[in-house]
Amino acid sequence: MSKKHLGSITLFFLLFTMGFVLIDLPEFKVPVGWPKPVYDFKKNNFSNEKIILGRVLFYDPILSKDNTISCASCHSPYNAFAHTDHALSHGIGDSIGFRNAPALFNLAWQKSFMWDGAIKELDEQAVFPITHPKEMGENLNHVIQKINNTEKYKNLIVSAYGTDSINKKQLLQSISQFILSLVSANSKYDSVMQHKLSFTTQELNGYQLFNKNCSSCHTEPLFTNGSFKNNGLKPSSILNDYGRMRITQNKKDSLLFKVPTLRNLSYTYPYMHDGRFTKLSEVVQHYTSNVDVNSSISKDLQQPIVLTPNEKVDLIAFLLTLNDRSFVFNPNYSFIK
Amino acid sequence: MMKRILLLLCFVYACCNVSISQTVQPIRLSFVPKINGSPIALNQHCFSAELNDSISITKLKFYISNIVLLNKEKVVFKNTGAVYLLNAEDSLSLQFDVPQNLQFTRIQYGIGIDSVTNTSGALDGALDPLMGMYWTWQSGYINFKMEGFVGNLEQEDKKFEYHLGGYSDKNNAYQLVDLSIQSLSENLQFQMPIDIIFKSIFSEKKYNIMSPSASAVSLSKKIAQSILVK
Repeated sequence: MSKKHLGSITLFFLLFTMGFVLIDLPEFKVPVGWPKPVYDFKKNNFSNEKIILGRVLFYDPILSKDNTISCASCHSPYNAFAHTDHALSHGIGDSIGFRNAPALFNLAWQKSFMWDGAIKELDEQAVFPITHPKEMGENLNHVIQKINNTEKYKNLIVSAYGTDSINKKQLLQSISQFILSLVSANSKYDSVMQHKLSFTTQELNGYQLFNKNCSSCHTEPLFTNGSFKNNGLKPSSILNDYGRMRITQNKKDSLLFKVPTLRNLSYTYPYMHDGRFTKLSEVVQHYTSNVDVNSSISKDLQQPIVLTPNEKVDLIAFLLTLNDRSFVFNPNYSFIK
Repeated sequence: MMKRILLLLCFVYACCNVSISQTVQPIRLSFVPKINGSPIALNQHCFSAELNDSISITKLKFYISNIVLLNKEKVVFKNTGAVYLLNAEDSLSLQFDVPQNLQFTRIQYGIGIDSVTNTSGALDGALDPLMGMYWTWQSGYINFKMEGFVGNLEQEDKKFEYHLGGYSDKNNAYQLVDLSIQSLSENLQFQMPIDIIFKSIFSEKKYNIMSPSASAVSLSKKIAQSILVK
């Protein structure tokens, strides 16, 4: 065999194995200029097979007690994994929860989960909706039993874990993997930051207003700093929800809720922890005119935000540049037929 | 010669265009939800003698699709493929064009999205999931959405949410309305007696129906059967 042949065979072999490495261990890609993820990928190595298992589970109502509700019921891919036009989350037996289903993306960078930060680890998060009586109302052992007895999961489980059944940890980590794969970083704003597009005059003005008035909590590039704040919403008399205080039992945390991201707002209405606002103009109106200044109010909101009617429009124009249509219609995230 | 043919073609084309634009006329369908016989306004409490209680509607959205006009038994117009999402927040009217002087004595339309459209993968226009009327792959679209409160006070236990939909088998909630038109008009008004339609479900205190089910189907039937043409 000539040297040339040997060379090409080696090259082929190298490319072949590289291909496998790429397929078996897809790297979690951090968008340019973004911080290091919070999630520890060392404890749950990324693999395409686990992502696919997680993706199938995400869309499968098998996770609920009566096999009617899937994760996607309240986290629809077409709504940036939120629940458009639904103020509060829905569950089995037509029950209604007490908070708005948040959008699911860029969660690798999130320090805590749920509106009140009740859960600190993404791998534990799915336990809450699966077991909550007003969401999926199931118990984890029964879910595991159902999955392990379902024919379509046999191959998926073998591919992901090399075993013929999964345990609780693997179930939750597979769901985490799919959720971690949901990265939204391809909005017009992102293109502008990468100097591929530019803002219109109106959007640019909105961006400047945003930096002056909003960015201390809705910090770029995630458009949240992950903290808990009281943004001056009077608690609804129906829900009586005092937010973070439920978790910490500390009065200082009364009416504090997690700062949500501002990406993909067009897809994720209604807004706020109880979905009380349908339109962005109502949200802006709240911050300029209706903030209830009480004892735990965020220090940035102690003085009202002052915006002219034109400035309000400009601010909203900027916020709309954070919509990422390619994320919403990404075929890698949708239901596998 | 070529020039002449071209000119002639242009002339024929222009004539056709003119004739098309001259021979259509708009037909407007308006839906009027009523309580106690009077048209409702969103977020306003009003008393219903039928319910012997107050009611306030905070949201009312529904799909109208597959509009067909008939002259006696013969189909004279089909608005094929058109789906309209009506929202009380904006307007409960829709408009489409028919050939001028079209005679029709009956109208048929669907309330909701039929099973074929549900599984066609169309996600644009009125069917865009952004409209808040799409559930998931297994349950499809919400056909009819009404939310509000029974009683004077806005209390949790008096809040109703009806998201009626479902497209498969026995849970198919899509309904066909078939009504005779007494006097030919470009403006057809359809009345929806909300308090009459929802009376029995309210009296059962069944305030939440939000997934495909037998109750969703029976309530959808009731809505379709209660619509009156003015």
